[in-house]
Amino acid sequence: MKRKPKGGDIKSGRRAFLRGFGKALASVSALMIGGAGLLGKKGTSDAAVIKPEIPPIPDYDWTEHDWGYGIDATRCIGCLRCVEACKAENGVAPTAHHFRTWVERYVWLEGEERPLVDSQSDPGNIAASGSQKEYRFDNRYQDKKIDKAFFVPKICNHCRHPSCVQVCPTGATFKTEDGAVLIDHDYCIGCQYCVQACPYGARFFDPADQVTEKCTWCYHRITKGLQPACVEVCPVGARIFGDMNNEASDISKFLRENRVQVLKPETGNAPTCFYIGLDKEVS
Amino acid sequence: MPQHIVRLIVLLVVFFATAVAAKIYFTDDSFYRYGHYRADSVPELATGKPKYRGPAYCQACHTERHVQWTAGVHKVVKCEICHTPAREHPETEAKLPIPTDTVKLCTLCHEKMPSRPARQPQIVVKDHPYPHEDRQECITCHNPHAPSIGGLKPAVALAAECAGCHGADGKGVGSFPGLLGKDAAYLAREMKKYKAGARQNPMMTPIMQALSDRDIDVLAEYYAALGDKSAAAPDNTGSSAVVQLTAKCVGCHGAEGQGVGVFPALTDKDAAYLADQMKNYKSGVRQNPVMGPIAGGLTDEQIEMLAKYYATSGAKSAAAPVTAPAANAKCVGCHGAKGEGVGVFPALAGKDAAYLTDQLQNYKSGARQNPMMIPIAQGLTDEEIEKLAGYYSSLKPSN
Repeated sequence: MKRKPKGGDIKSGRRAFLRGFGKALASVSALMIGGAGLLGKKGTSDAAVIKPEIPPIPDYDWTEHDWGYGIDATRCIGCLRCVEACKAENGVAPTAHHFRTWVERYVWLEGEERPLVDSQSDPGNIAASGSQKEYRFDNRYQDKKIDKAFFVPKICNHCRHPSCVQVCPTGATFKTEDGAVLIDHDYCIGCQYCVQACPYGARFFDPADQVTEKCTWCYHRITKGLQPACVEVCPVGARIFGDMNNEASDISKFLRENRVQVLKPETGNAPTCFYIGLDKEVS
Repeated sequence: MPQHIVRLIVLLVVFFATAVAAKIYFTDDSFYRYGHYRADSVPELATGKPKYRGPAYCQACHTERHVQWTAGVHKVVKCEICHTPAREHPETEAKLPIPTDTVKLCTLCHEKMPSRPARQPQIVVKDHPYPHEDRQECITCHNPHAPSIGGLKPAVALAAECAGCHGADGKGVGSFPGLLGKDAAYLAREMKKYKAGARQNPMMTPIMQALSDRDIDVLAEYYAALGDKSAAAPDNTGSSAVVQLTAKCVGCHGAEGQGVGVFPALTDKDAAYLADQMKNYKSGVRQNPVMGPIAGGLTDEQIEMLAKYYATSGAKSAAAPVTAPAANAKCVGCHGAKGEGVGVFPALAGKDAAYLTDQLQNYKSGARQNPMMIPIAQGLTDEEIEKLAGYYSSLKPSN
């Protein structure tokens, strides 16, 4: 059953335009789809036959590594050299409020049930350092009676099931084959969903570049066989980094020889940053 | 099919085609290659030159400094922690900074804080020796590249490094000049010249670079004062040389060679036995990581002297049992193994017991001020003070 269009060719200015544009767009799209599809197929089929494709990083195969990070809080002396090194190595915003790694101080005053917690961002500590670009802990508890006190270094946990990756609407943050959670700043639109989603507060918004920032385990260093800057400079061996695929690595040894824990295991994020020497209040 | 339905279908197709076309057009080619992200961003993130180059990079040029640094306890504190990241030094930055505010820098790690692990060496800044109002830099006394653990070395321990060439008593051996009796200011000035490289010598320069300016001053005064003493009692050089040698023993075997903990007593042994064993350590027949190098640094003649000294001093103390009280360990570091006085530290041996008691009590109460003596005296009970005073008054003055 076919009906003749009403109105014929007189009133058909808009319709004709739509028809014409529709045809043109459809053919263009079909060409594009066909072309892209063919190209895409060709590319992937070749790669699949020859070898699994890996990112072109010199002398580095990300399928060979499974990086892990260890923190021995019993060793940390709170010198904050890791924080300065991280800022210098990665060009992190030179303020006292943007950190890829940081250190917290937990202090239980005599008889108190809950700890007092501060980090290098605390106003007292900024005053002690003398500037926003230098970091040190002040000695505010030197004359107090203390039940217990220690430092805890913090860093992105590079989770096995990262909630930040799950919520990213643009695919700007992702987990690599070798275990790092990275951010593609070209694709980041600065919506900060990931900042909200991270249970560890490991992400922050860089006001200068309008993108989200976080620890990369110094991806440009570890892919060259170096240690992350924070591990490189730690004078007391409180930070440990290595390949969990390699039994002789520092991190494998650390995991074998210690009873380790992760932060907030109940979130199901499954961190690959392992701690020893934490207390129940630390999260 | 009704025409308006056809139009609707056409419009929907057009809409989806546009959407798909736009998605394909705007999505990066490498997206989805490994997952829901742009694959090219991975190599992008992996590029970039490391700014921290590690000590091996520094070693290439700063070889001597590197040797000294790796030998000390500060080998865990890597170059770039204090000197800032090397980046492309020396191509782009000719010089890396040398920290000037060492009090601020050193206290980052060494200021006493309740949250620091107890094993970390820490100081209460306001109670630290030489607490000057006009802040003294840490490196005046401490060598930042190889600080000594547990505080500063007393002159006797420092002098042990000189004894290898200049003789145990600093009298000079062969082509190595004598040190004793030389003017303290002269000795200090020349040692600092070696340290700075203004005076060139392949042996002296590295030795002096391992010392702080304070160590150099202490050594200069030590040898200058030593000369005065031996000039006053020239016939006594033999026995004072033995006392010098015992500096290597007293650290473990006790000020009197009486034995401390696992370290055996020496005074109850036969001289021939002691000499044999030291020679065995020296030749390696008897293996021991501590004794081996110590005995290896002694001549056979010195071994005989030491053996005789300890064998006879045992007999002496048996005849007149003057045993050092346990607290004596706190005194010998500065005042010498026999309380004979070292450099600026006065002699104790032979002083009146009541005088010594009074002065220790004065330090303890704070009536007499001294940044080193006050904490030591405050750590002593009244009974210990009495015992120490009695002990030192019973010893013979060294000259």
